Amino acid sequence: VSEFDLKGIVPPVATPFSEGGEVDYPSLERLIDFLIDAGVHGLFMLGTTSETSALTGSERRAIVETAVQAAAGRVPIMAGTLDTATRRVIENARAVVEAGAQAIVVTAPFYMTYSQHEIVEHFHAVKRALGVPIVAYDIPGTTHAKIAPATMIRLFDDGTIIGLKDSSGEESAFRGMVAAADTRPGFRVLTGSEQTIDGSIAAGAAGVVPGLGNVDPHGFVAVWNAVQSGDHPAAVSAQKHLLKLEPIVRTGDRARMGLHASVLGSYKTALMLRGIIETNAMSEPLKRFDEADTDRVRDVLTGAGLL
Amino acid sequence: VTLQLKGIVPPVATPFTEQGEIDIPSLENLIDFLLDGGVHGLFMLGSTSETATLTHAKRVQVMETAARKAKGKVPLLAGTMDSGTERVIEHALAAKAAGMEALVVTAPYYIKPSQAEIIDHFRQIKAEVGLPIVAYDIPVNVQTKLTMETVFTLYDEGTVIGLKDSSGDEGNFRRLVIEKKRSRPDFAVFTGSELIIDGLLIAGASGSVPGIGNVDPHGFVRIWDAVQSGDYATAVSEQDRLNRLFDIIRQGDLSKMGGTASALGGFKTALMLRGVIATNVMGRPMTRLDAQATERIRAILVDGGLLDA
Repeated sequence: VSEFDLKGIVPPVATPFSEGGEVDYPSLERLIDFLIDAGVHGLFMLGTTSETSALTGSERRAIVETAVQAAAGRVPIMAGTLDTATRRVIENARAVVEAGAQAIVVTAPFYMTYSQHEIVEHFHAVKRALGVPIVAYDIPGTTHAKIAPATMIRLFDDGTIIGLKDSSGEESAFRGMVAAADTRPGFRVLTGSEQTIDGSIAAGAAGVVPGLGNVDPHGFVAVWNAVQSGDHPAAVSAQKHLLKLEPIVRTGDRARMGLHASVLGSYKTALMLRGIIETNAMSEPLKRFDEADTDRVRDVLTGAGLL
Repeated sequence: VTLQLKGIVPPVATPFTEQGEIDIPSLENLIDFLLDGGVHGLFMLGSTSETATLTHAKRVQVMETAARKAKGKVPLLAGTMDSGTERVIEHALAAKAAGMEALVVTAPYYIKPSQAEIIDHFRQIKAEVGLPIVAYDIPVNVQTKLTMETVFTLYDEGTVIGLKDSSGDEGNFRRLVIEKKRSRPDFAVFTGSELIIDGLLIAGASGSVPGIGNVDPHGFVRIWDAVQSGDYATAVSEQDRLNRLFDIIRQGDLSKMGGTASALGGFKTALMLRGVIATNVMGRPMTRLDAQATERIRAILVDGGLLDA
């Protein structure tokens, strides 16, 4: 088995739905082509941005199968296994690995309250059951459980994980993990933060997993390429361009919809307006962007030169 | 026919074998033990049942066992906990097929829903499954509160028949009970706050869903009976006794295990010591209580008169 190559811009791929609420596979294939053509370095299927917590087991499997076929080996594919505890995560992981994912992404268990010791046990059990490379996913905003930095390092040092995706928003802790990677070759530290990636990549982050990367993959790849070529002014300028898109996450009407519907709905509405996916329908029970919300998305896209 | 829910409805623990499979004979024993204790219903697949750790197939095993042992004796409720609407509907259809008589449904979790999205979630489940639904407010686990307005919107339109309140917000619970007495007599309002059910039943709660009711169902049924007969002094003294027993949830080593494993492991260890279930194995990745914690729980049970010295 060749080593899973995890680096660069690895967007968490949105999951398009048809008007009938089914997964829209033709739109998903177009989205994957759009991302790969833009130069992304990998795909993260079934992340938080993908509305995975709403997807059934059979939908999850079919989405990964579609991605593997559509990507056709052009970029590596990792897949989320989002669930509350060990047996359920192993069941999900088996399905996505059978579907062709080359690595899996695993959060802390959630719903109940777990110790760091139990979180370590969770990762060990998943690794023993699957054997594939594991990326730890720290997203306390949704799991309400922090994977402590010491836990991450322990799991890397004992061979359980190959790296982490940090969606904690705790930037100083993130820099600490990047620094820890200096003495740990092969420890890939990726960030889910989108508006400081120029600095994060320059500091040594292995990559970025930007939800907004669905909407403007070219913009994220531009920051990555500029830092790689040592052109820091160009990286800062590309980052400033991405900042113009940032208000998109506040276009949804929060009187109607929750945080996730407003953020993820803005990405899907933008992809619809850009002609990549067919609808901005959301998984149940998330509210969909209406015409007024959509007009605000259009304004942001126009302001950023994407429409 | 409207399902009438009242009384002591314990969230039934899920026993495991040493290999981590569902221990069906132990689950059957536990159900017999609870029925013998006089409980008025069984809530399968609650938080106490470690449902968050159970695969769909294992949940079906639990529900089929409950139907086999208790169908027709007491109402059977089944939790459907999962993160999104489609996933909950999968569990709910399996519950219906297994013969469960009501669903217990939380807000979606992992994502942060609005109250309007939560209302849509319940409506979809009701429309596609049809069974009576008890809303389950447990913000410590799902991170979102079912507001009183949401609960009464769902009740008044016929989507839910009641609420299980595990929020710990007793002021809000009391307001729900007041509304029940004032204008919604059939609203089934259950508390998960097992340490103060004497007072909440006197106030007019429909019943209680006590986790520690697994360990001493007879005691909770005595509180219920005492309140029904107006003997409040007996209800209070029985509650005081059960609250001393509640120390069994604090015997786990929290440098090693999470609070959930310590609490639920305390229940299972007590059931093992009482001879009701075979092991105190926990759903992964929860840590099992060790020999020292087991000895401390034994002492608490002996002290409480539930085990011979």
